[in-house]
Amino acid sequence: MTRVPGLACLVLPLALAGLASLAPAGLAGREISAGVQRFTLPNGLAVIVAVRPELELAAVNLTVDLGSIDDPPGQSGMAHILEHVTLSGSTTVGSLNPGTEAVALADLDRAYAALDRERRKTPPNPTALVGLEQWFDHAHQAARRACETGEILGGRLELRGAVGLNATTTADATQFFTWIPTGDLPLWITLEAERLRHPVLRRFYSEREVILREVAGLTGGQATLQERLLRELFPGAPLGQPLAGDLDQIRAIDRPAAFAYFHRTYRPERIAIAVVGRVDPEQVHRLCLDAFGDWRPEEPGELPRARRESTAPLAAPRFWTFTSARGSVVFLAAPRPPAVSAAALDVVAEVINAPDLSPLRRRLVDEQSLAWTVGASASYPAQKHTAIFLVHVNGLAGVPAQRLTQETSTLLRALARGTDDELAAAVLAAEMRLAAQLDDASAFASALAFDQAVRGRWNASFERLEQLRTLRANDVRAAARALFDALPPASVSLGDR
Amino acid sequence: MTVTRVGVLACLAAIAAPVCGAMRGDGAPPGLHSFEQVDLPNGLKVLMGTPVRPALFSELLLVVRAGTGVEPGSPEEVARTAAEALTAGRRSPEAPSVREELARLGVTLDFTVGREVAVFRFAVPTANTPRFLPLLADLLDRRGPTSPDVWDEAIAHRSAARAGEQQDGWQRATTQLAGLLWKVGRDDPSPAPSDDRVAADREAVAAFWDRTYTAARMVLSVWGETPIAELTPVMRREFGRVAAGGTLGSAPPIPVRLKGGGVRCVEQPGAAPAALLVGVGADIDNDAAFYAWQVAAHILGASYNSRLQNRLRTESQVVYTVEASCMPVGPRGMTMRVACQTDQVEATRRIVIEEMRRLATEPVTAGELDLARALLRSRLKLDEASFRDQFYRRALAWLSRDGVRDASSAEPVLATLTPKTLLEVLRSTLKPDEAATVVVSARPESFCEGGHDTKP
Repeated sequence: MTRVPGLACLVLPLALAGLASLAPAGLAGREISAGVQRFTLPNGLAVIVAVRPELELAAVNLTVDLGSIDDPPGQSGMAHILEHVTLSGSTTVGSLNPGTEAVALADLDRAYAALDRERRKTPPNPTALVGLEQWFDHAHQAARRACETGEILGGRLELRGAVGLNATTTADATQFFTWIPTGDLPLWITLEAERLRHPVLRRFYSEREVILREVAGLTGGQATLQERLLRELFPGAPLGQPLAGDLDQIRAIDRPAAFAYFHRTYRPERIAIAVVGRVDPEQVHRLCLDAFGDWRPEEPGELPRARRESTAPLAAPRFWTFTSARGSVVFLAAPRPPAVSAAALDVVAEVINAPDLSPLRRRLVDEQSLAWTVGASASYPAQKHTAIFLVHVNGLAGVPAQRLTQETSTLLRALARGTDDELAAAVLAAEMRLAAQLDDASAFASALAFDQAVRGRWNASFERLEQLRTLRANDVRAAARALFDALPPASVSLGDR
Repeated sequence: MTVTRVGVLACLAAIAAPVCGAMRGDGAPPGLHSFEQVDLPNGLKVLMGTPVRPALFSELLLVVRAGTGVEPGSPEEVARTAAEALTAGRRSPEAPSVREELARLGVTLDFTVGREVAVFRFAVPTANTPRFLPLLADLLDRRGPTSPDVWDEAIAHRSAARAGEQQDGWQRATTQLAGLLWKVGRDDPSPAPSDDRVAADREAVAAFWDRTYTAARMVLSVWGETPIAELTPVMRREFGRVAAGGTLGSAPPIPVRLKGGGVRCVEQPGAAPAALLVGVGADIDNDAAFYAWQVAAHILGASYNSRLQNRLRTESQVVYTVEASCMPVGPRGMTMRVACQTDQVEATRRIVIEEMRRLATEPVTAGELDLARALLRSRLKLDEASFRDQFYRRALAWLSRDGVRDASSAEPVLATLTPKTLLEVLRSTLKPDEAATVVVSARPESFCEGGHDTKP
């Protein structure tokens, strides 16, 4: 790897302060990225392979450029639902008799539609309701009898030793991932192709109950503070949607609606597969070509909503506050300045987050005991759409929201006067945060697939490391000024909780 | 600097399960291009390696025989506070705080304190590794009476950490469950829940540090891009000055299994749905039983087709997810723990106990056994590929009085395990009637009424 001088280079004559690169380039981003290969199948599906000879199990990740901010209006939670139900096998994988099962599932769809129509009447007919519920239950049982019991894909993969099998939906994307013994990589690729090319979405309604339980567990059954904030900031826009989904809207999504959305949005050109392990890249490419190469969906596709619809960026920074018996929460939502590099914004967030560097933390938490935590996100809630720079301060009980706002405002404005040493430390913190992600094989696979599917560049994280290495103190100060120079004098209350 | 008190290190306690017999320590851990061990005159052992693949940063793993059970009569909090002291205070009155110094070098730290050892894992930018090593040596060379501020700050940090633990429902529940299943200390006649632990005082912490944070009780591992030839003289020079100290001391008391089971309910705002933990302890004294329990946990609730996953999620949707796991307790104890969130606490608990009972009374199917075996083998392979795990195991081989289980003992056991032999082990060791339960909920659960111990 490239050897570089240490932080001694930061001790510069004052005249030069602010002009020098801040980071000592202590990380080997370029060398690691050199071992990565990318292949693109004729239908646009991307395959990225990183060889890690020490791994007997490969870390694999399939990412779809479809997140919660892409959910159609009135169907918040749709991407999350697809994350769950696409794992239920395919028309053949998991079916005891595909023909019988198809008939049973069609009957189930009809039964649910009829039941749903009746439930929506005011008032519903009780006698009709009982009959329709019986029809639904019978259809549900018939569909269950036509397929295998238990987890179908998970069961097959785990039997071959797959561990850490899971999936996640973020604002930007849906990711499916696991560790798989290298010799069983063909099985994983085959099953992924099966479920995406021949989806069945079986057990839809029982899985929907699981999702409702999951969302209720995450949110306590009501909008979280951040969801309320986003709703205020971006009413009706993709960014204003709940990240995990809206309970009522999830309840209103049925299997045909999910199917229709799947066909429009799960497209090879929006999917990236990453494999990190003791593998032959060419062989992985061939396996993917065999499994996915001739996947050409017949139905017309559509761009994910967040890529179709623009959202007006915030005009100016705004403070918002919530108050409860447990204390006030102050949010600062600031527009991301277009002329400022993403790396510089990352470093500003790091200056706020790093526990032993953050002037906000030192002042508000350690010295004045006004707050119990302080944090920032440089691109909230998403990466692929107009986003905001978010700062949050959780105050201690009894601390007035307005005082917390004023103190926070003063401290944020002072960030633009950070010393070279302070900013250099924040750059290192940002580098180390990114490096830790790239060092772990599973997180590395996730970053490769995400960067390719969402940003269109598998090496975006390495580019970010490079940007951090060449960042100058004045870049960071300029970013802080652009973010915080025009802070409003007061906050807007979003009420109590 | 970012300090995390458990983080990635939490898994280490489970990976390197203590047991009779030592692990093999010969040769380089797999995946290293070069490897060297240096025994310093003061007793500190240094392991150095350079990985085959490029490393983005250096990692250092410091393992110290300074766990909560190594000092007779010393409260757990003293050991935990001493660990905080490593990065507390300043190196000199004029210097910035140690934490700020570390932060300016880009250093991050995870640490955890177990029964025998405290484990510190540093991630350091490669370019700053030569500057970090003297700093770490300075910190280890500090002696108690000379720096009272260090101990006061450590006590403050520990106090803040405890407050955080109190806020974390799962952590509270885990602590409560352990207290219901095991009597850990030498002198505590009853299973005092750790929520009631008293803060350590300055003198006790300083004295503990002086006795335990000594070279003879430390193993320091370093791996990254820095060539070993460059590292070796630095390690000798800097860490050779750490006080030698005495011996490793006696083995910590062996945890005693409590057989009363019991239920503890904890109210916590925001804990909805309720968190449910059900655990059962066992005395495990051989490899066959150790891996049999690991297999049983997988069949019970550590796979997508586990029994609890099928009953609680697939069939009845009363949980979003459920997970069973095994945690070693001392050299020959084991806890099997089931965790989930549910708003149907009583029904869920009943099913968990039923399935535990079924494991102890009926043979599992061949398919279940094959699935559990495959998963366990994969997890062992992932551990083998982890430098962190490999170096930790080597450190424990020197520092632990309990010994370290040799991972190579797993395969012979797994290969010969049958439904019948598994049942034999579980029939004699798994006692569902002795299971303990902890519920953390936003409001009193009806399950907790009627004589159950409720702790607000």
